[in-house]
Amino acid sequence: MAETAGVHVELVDNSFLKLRGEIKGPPDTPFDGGKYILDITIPETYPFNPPKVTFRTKIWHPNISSVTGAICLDILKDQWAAAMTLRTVLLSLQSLLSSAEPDDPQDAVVAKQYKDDFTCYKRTAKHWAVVYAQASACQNKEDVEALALFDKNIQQLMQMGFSEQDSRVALSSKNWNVEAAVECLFS
Amino acid sequence: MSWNVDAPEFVPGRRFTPQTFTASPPDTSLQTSRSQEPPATSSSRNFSTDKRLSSSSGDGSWRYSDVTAAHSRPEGNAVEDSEVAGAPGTSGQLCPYYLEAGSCEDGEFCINIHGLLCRHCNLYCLPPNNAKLQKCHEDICAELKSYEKAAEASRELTCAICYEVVLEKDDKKQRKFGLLSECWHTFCIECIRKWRSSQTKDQTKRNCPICRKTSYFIIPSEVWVSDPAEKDRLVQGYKEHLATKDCMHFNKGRDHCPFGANCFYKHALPDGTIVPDNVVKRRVNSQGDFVVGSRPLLSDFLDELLTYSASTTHHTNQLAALRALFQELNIHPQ
Repeated sequence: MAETAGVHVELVDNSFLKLRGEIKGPPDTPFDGGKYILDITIPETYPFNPPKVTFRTKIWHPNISSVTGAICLDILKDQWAAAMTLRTVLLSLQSLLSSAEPDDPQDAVVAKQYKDDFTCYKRTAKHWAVVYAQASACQNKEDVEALALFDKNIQQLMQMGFSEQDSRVALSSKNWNVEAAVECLFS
Repeated sequence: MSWNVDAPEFVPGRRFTPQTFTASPPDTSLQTSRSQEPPATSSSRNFSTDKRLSSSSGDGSWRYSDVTAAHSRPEGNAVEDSEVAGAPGTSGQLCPYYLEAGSCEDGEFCINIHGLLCRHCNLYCLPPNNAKLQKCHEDICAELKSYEKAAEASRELTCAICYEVVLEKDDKKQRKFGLLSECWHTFCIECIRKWRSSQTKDQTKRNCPICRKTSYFIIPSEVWVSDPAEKDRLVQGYKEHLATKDCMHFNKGRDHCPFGANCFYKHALPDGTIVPDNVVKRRVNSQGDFVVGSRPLLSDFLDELLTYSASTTHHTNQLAALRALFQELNIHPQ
């Protein structure tokens, strides 16, 4: 598939029913330069029913579950059309990364942060992109400092005995407030 | 000398081709190209290859008929020719030489008719003095030409769902297009039907898989049409075809058709009455049976009741009186 568009599909095993997709994070988003792996399951009834697509790479985005990677995108559900292809699906997912739809969220926590504190959302998304998708680092000085603080916060919770993953999720959900995150982790 | 052969019907627009009597069946030889048998060559003088058009049959239809000696030529069997030759244009048959070439060595003395040029099939096949036949030929010829053009254009089109070349699909029965009534996107009939039956949501399944325009029906077609007028004609023909078939839902009035007056199929009662608005007059008769039919009168009901219960009920007299009253008033039950 078109490398230039930054989408790519490959076989997982010799069956065409399980595929692995890859999309590049679009520019001018926190996901810029990130490499996102997708699990694609083709139903027997394809193309009359949509392929099942989930994010394998963890991502902080209102329309993608930060826990399961499930995607909320109309064309993967009731707006699927038989003339669509894996290419158009992956391109749509790429465009979903550049234009989130917080009013129709898959991850309510992320969506709330997106609406309430957009700067915090962007930094959190960047942090996740850097950690999980090898996205390029920030250029903006303030953002660089903020992300360094995020790392410090995670270290702090890890010293308390929490796993890195749990710490990141808790802090991300609580706008990187360490006390709130600890409370969340203990509850 | 006469040759009795199965003369195939002349279809306007098809190439006229002289054929041998004993060779392939008429239909296949008709499709051979004219270049295989140029009429001006000496070989066409051979009696066995010479066939002509004639309009001699009473119904005005054009038929190939064997012509063994209708055309005279300077060389060749002059004696035989001269025996049958008559006044110019009197044979009642189209000159096969003039038909293709637009010229004939006999010129105005040819005993056959020199037709006018049909601009569609490029043959001099229009009978000069019969405007009705001319128009008839040209109409069919034009239709045939546009069909050929459409067939040529649709040869390489692929279905947007299965990506197969529609007219090259493995199953010959599936080599058909399914045209959507409201847009111009290309699908094979199988895929578009599958799409429309696979979706649970009514709105989605009626939408074109490409542009999402809602189409309420699909038209099966062996060629892809790109001309709106052509498509309209196709739709019309399709609807007329369906209107001759009984609606499965309507079931001759026993069931209800969800498409009502918009249904393309025939809504007819067992007696052949067409029900245009899908509202079937059904009623329960006095014996509790459903009767499909025209609007009943209340007196009919009483009439039935009387017939069945004349001997058993003591209300017979009252019923009869009531029936008489209703008959007079002509009341319909609601």
